[in-house]
Amino acid sequence: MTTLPIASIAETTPMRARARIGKVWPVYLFIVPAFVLLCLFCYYPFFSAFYHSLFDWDGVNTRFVGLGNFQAMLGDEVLAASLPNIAILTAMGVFFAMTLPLLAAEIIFNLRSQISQSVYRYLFTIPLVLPWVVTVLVWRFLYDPIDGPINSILNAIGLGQFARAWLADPTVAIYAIGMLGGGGTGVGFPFVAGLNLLIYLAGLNSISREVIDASRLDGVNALQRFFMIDLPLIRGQVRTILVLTIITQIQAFQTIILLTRGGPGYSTMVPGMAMYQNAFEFGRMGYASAIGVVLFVVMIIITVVSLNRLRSPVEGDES
Amino acid sequence: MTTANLSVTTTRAKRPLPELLAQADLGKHAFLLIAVVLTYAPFWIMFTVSFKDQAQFYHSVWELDFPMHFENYESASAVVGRYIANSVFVTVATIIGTIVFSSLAAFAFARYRFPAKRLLFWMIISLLMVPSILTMVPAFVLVRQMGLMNSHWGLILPGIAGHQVFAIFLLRGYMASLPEELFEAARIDGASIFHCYFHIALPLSRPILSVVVITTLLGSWNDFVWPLLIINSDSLRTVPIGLAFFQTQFSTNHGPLMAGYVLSSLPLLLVFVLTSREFIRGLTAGAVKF
Repeated sequence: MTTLPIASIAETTPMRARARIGKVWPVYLFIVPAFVLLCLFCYYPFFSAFYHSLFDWDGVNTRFVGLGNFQAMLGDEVLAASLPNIAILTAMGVFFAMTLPLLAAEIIFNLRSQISQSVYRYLFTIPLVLPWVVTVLVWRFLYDPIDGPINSILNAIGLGQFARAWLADPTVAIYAIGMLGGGGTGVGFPFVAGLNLLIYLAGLNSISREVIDASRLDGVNALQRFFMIDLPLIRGQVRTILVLTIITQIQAFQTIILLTRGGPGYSTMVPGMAMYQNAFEFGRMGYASAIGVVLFVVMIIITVVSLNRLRSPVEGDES
Repeated sequence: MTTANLSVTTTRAKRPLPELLAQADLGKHAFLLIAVVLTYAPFWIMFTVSFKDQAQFYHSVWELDFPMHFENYESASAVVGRYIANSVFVTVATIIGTIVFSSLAAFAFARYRFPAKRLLFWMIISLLMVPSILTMVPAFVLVRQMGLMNSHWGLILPGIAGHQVFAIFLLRGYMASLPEELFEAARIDGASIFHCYFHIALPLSRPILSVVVITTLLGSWNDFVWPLLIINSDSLRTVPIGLAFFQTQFSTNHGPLMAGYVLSSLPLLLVFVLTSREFIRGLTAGAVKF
């Protein structure tokens, strides 16, 4: 190849390419089924959402309103009420994801016995296997004002004055939802079980044995090792979990539909829930599309910014 | 001298106990066990209550009471059995469709060069950044126009479409790493593209296919908002929406309600027990997708 003069390459390349297409056109048949479904259920809805965000749309009739939907969002008191809630849920989600699962992962990683490591990993994975709906509904039962175990425990230990209707009291409902993992599919208190633990553990397990042995020889204590060796080396996992948690919380509303539907009042309203209600209860699908577009743009910005900000200073050391 | 000697011997004599404690990681086990107990407490209550009648329930939720009321499971399974069967059908169909469609496309992207390949692949991968919250409303209107409302196909087809994006991403990487010699040899023997796909690439990709199966299984089994929009009749409900409505039928009777929760947890638990290693791998891999 290297000995061929340039002219002859220029001559043969188009012919070869043509020959290859002639031979490999059945390859397109391999990607057609995937693309048919993608066009129907992914690309078309994607562009339709942007298009209809400029319209009054009830699913059948359309009337062009320009940026009217976006203007209406600025004065929407339901959306305004949802912003502090989403901030609370995101802050709680990030705090819980960054603390206890990381601590537990570090402790499991430092267990001497391989068998204990596997047992704990197994035990903390099982709650992920239970259907998400079951977890949330069991929590609803725990929060039950009359029959719920949380209030019974508070009454039993003499803290009855703190017992309340956790999901119906507008001052605490949003925190009660935050405690069971926010709007998304988290695992509630004590927050150790779940995907975050598995991700941290995978990161810790990929640290080379030599680094850890060397630190042990140098007499580094556990705390020093955690902050100066383990944490910098699993920066990729920490970043992944941070971005994932934020993005999940911004768009999630499954838990809210199931537990409070945004109430009492708007005390647990989140943007996703507002979008859902506008689209499927009030028939304002154009407006709902506009909310979806704004959420999408916010999520893209957060992803790009956090990926740039938290980029590792060491080159070629990506996650 | 003597004092120094003495101190050495005393520390030596004292050492075994703390060292043994350290060896046993007692503090670490204490922390982790407390976390395990707190994590499982809600599910333990679900389990005990599922065997109780109302009187036993008001007595205590923490321990099993006798006689255990297995009839809770009978009345629960009469309702939940249907939801589980529906979920199994929808999930299995979604998994099969996802595997077939994504492995075909991934094979083409991994092993062949063809015009517009990079553009087409980029078009698929960029969908990983599109959240379902953006496409939900138009997709709902589309499915309604297609006449798929209140049918399992309204769940399966969009399910395959959504799950295959990440599956193509995973499978393409894996299939691209397979050694070219295998395909070369088959091609020299006159094997067709389809032969290369079905008899070489697919069998060799089994480890990554299991990851695709697990991520699709979890996503499909737990899907809540979309089935809530598409399915109206009770007889077609899947587990998540079924349980959400099931709650209203037994509103004051906690026993059968919890029995229903336990029953609906069993299928995935069974899969996990049988395939725990692949399962944990699939969970971790699935997390990276947004």
